[in-house]
Amino acid sequence: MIYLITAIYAEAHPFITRFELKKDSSHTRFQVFRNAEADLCLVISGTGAVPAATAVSSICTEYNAGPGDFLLNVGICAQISTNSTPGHEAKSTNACRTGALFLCNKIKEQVTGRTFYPDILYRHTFAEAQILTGARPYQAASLPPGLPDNRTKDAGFFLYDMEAAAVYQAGAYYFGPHQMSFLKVISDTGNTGQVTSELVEQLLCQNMDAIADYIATLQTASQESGKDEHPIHKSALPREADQLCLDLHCSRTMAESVRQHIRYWTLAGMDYLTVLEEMYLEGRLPCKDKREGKQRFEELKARLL
Amino acid sequence: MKNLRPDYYNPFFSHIYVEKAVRTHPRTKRILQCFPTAKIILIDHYKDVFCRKGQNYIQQQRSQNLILGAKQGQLLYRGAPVCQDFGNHNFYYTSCVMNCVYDCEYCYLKGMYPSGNIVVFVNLEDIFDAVRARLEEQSLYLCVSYDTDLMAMEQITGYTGEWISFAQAQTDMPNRLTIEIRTKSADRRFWQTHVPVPGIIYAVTLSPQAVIDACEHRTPSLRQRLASVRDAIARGFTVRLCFDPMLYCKDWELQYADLLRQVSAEIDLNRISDVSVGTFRVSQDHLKKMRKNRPDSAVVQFPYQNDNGIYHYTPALTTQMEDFLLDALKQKIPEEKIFLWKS
Repeated sequence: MIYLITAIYAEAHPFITRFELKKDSSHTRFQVFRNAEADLCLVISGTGAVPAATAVSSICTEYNAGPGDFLLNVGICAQISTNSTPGHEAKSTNACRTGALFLCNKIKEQVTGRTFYPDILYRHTFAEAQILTGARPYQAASLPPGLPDNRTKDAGFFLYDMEAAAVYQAGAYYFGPHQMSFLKVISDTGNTGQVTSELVEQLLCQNMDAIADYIATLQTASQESGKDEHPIHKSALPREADQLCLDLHCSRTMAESVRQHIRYWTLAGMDYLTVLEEMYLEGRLPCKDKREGKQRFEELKARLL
Repeated sequence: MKNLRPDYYNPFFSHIYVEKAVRTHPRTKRILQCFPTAKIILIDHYKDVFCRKGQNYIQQQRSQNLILGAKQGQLLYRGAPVCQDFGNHNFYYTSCVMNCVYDCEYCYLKGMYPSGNIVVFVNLEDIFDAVRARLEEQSLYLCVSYDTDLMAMEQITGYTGEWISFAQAQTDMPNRLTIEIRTKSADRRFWQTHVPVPGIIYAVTLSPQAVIDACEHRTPSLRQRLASVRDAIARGFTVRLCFDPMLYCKDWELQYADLLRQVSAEIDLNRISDVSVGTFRVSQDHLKKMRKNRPDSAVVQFPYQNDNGIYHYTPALTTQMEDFLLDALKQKIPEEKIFLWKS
């Protein structure tokens, strides 16, 4: 499943339309929209760190998020333009890149100074940037403290939002860093009063094709990860393992050893079932007690190795 | 190298994480020049990226990234008991690179490191200083390619060459330093661009082609490795052959007999420095993580026996496999040149 987290409805609406998401009215604390066929689930968290973390936790617990799933935080952000050091006035030399979409490769939490690095394993067409997550809307008058280091190739600006670091930290209880992505569209340079719902929706809509392509990539990766999972891992072990443990009168330790052997024989393509069948036909299985069970297990191993 | 990436993965080293403290280091600059299109992300400490919680080693190996940093704290380590010391008392190893471009299913690195990314420490001089300080006290048998395959990364780091230069420079302490460079690389250009230096041993791991196909992903074929060894010997380099780890498979006798046949057909064994033999063994902590990472790998899921925290084949199978190879080797190589790992 792909879990989409947006802060406000205007950010969510283009996804609801594009992916034909239906409202799941069983959720009362957050608005949740789903398309089971597309394996997509969108939750609108509300603005800020606490709502974002709570929404991630709520939805991921509800649907038992785990390996093979992805968390995608999408929304608007501010652009901080600066070539100066933190604490100084921002220079206005960099034009606002309103509407530009970025994949975040570094997330810094302003309050704690902690930094998080989502893995960027999958191909994408976006520019990449660093983002600073603050507790209050960014005001252009002065630079917020704790700016990420700007001496990279793409120096001169950063992104600023109010959720990414919280989404990462809450998401880390359910996902690895390779399963979380953060896509942000620049909406302003600190003049939040001018950002209307219509503008937000328009900015998301104009980037929707690129985002949809990325979601398609994640869906493929999710399906492939399911395929990668070996049957031996998925369904534990064949039923024969339990029966054999019973017939050998295994202790817990010996049962674990039997299971490990069966796991190996299966992976190595050894036909242990035929050997077992022979032993049952010969009357060597089932065993009458634990002692005989140990002997038969040794015999089984010797026949196969 | 075989390309195992489905096309939705980023290319290898698409992202390079650089510690702020080393961003202007000449080696950092040189390495970054190899990847002009890579995204550079500045970090405070390599562990901020390498030691993140919940990383997927296997996924990361499909799109490996580089982390450039400085090694702090302990720079030399005592050789582990599961490693062959070749009769050397002062057996140490050092890690100037952590993790490997190759993807061998049975490799202990998969159980030791939390990440599939590769860390390159650019402060080699600090490691050299530590080695020099130790050399003033005692002679040293130093393995520099344990937690990586240094020669496989030579085009990127040039570290093998740097170790050669370091060994060459120790003229005031002759014969006190022996360096082992363990590798599966078969880059024959290396032998043309470097000269043999006394005290440097190139230890080439050889496995049957069936084992390479099944377990040693992205590594050169046996034929390529043998061709490389042949070149090295012809140019006067000191080469050790490592039949270690020997791995069990259903027809292992056939496979290892065939391996020896190919080795003796391709290589003049009289010109080999020595040979190491050892069956697979790994610490229980590492194997536990390896089994979790690779539930689909037969070599990792083999029901090994655990003795004092080390997993290995049963004594009977171990003896059978070792004796088979030792007996065959003794017919071709003087016994004193054959080193068998014993716990």
